[in-house]
Amino acid sequence: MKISFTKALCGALASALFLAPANARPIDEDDFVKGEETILEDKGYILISGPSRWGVTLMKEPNPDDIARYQEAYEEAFAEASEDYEKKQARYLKRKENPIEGRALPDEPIKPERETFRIVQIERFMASQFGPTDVFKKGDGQYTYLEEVEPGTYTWYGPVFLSPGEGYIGQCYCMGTVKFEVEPGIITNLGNSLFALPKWEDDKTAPPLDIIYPMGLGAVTVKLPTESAPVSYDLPVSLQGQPVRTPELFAVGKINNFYGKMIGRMAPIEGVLAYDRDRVIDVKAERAAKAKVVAEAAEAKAAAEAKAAAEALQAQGKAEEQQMEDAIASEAQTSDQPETDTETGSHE
Amino acid sequence: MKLAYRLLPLLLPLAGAAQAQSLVDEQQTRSFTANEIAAVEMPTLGFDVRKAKVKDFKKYYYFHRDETSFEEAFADLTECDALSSGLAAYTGDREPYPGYYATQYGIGGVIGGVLGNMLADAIYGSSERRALRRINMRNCMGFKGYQRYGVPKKLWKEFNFEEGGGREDDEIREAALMQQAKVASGLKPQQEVLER
Repeated sequence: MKISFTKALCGALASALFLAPANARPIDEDDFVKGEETILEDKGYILISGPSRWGVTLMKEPNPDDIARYQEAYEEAFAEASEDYEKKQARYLKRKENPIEGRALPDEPIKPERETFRIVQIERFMASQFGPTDVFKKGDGQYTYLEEVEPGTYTWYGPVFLSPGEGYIGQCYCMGTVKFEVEPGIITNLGNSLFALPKWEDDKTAPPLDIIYPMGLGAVTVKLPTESAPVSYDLPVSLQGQPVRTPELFAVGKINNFYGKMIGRMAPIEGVLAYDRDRVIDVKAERAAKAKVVAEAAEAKAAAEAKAAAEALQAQGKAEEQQMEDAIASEAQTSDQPETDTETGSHE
Repeated sequence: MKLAYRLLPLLLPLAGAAQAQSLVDEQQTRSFTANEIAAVEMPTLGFDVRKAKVKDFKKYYYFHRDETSFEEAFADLTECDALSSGLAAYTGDREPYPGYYATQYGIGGVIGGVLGNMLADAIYGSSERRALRRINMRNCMGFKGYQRYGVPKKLWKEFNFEEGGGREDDEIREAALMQQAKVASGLKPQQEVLER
């Protein structure tokens, strides 16, 4: 049995609402050179380069302000859906009271209830998407994207993006990926590291479906990386002299396939991301935990040795003290004895 | 249908349901009694390789992993099935705010996923969705260390389902996944392993 399309459509219309994700804002190199765009102190900037056009979804970890914004969006959506329901219900009742011969009565609208009313998930609410269009610079076989985003911690969700008229396309790194920090007032330069660092050749997957993005009269095929490559953080000349930092990457565990697309994972990255079958290993955390255990063991050993030394010293001290006491006692005992004529041995 | 098609770009983003990201991937393993496992019918897997259409194996295959219990295999297949479908596969252990997960999961999420898939069918065609599911199950189970073995379509259909026309009924789905778990945790197949 399959679930009916109409039923699902009506249910979804009543129970969910689309909210646009907080997209990144692309910056064009010409505008930057002309001074129409600058690096603002309160904004974050992500620079990504690669050998082909690329579509990207990054998910920002929500802070308390984001969560408040999300809750506000929920309330707005719920109020809107409730208002919409009232109108539909009135039309439905009117139609029910005045049946049209030969035409069936439509399904009764479903009243939105907080228990079942949903807006888009918070992870998607926090998603920033960009590419494959709106490059900062292209040439010499390189495509560079510079995006203005809100500062925060971003998870690299994978090459998933909205294709006009097609919906979302691409592949999520749902079964293992990385995150990094985007600081305000600085360009976070990822270079080509997200494509070049992972050992794709050691983590074979099924041949993917083509990710085709229509552009103008043609189309662009977004190529998924299959092999690691030399890592480059080279900056376009126009950005040299700007505040730039290379972010540290950290492992991220499994994430849901929010867009219902191809499942994949980032291939292992030395010192960052590893796998035990499908278990994601945070290499840095693991190393830190091991280092902590070693440090604690060393500390415990040093403490034990110090304690033993102290005890030995204490024991030695006691022994010396005892010896001294014995010596004093012995001397006292000697001095308490009556004096004798050493020659005659008789008392005077 | 016309109305539905006009709404496609607007509604597509509803697909899927949320969960957290966590390195603590504790799998929820459902327990089965020996009788329950014994009651799951083992599908027929024997066939004459010389007569089989080997090129069909890129579409029709099953999974097996050594030293794997029925419970483990069922949990793995269930996780991959949910992930592939765009439904909530992971619950995580951190909430963005208290009560978030309690309010996020329910019929809304399920309908969102179902609807997204149906709308995707209308756009891409059901063959694309069938291909997507094959890739997803292959990748997910491959990451989990399962090996793939080809099987003729006729036999494959007896314990698998395709979702080109919409989401399969949950009971049929679970019965198929249990049969697949029996195969995945059963005797090692005596045939060539397919590429991961």
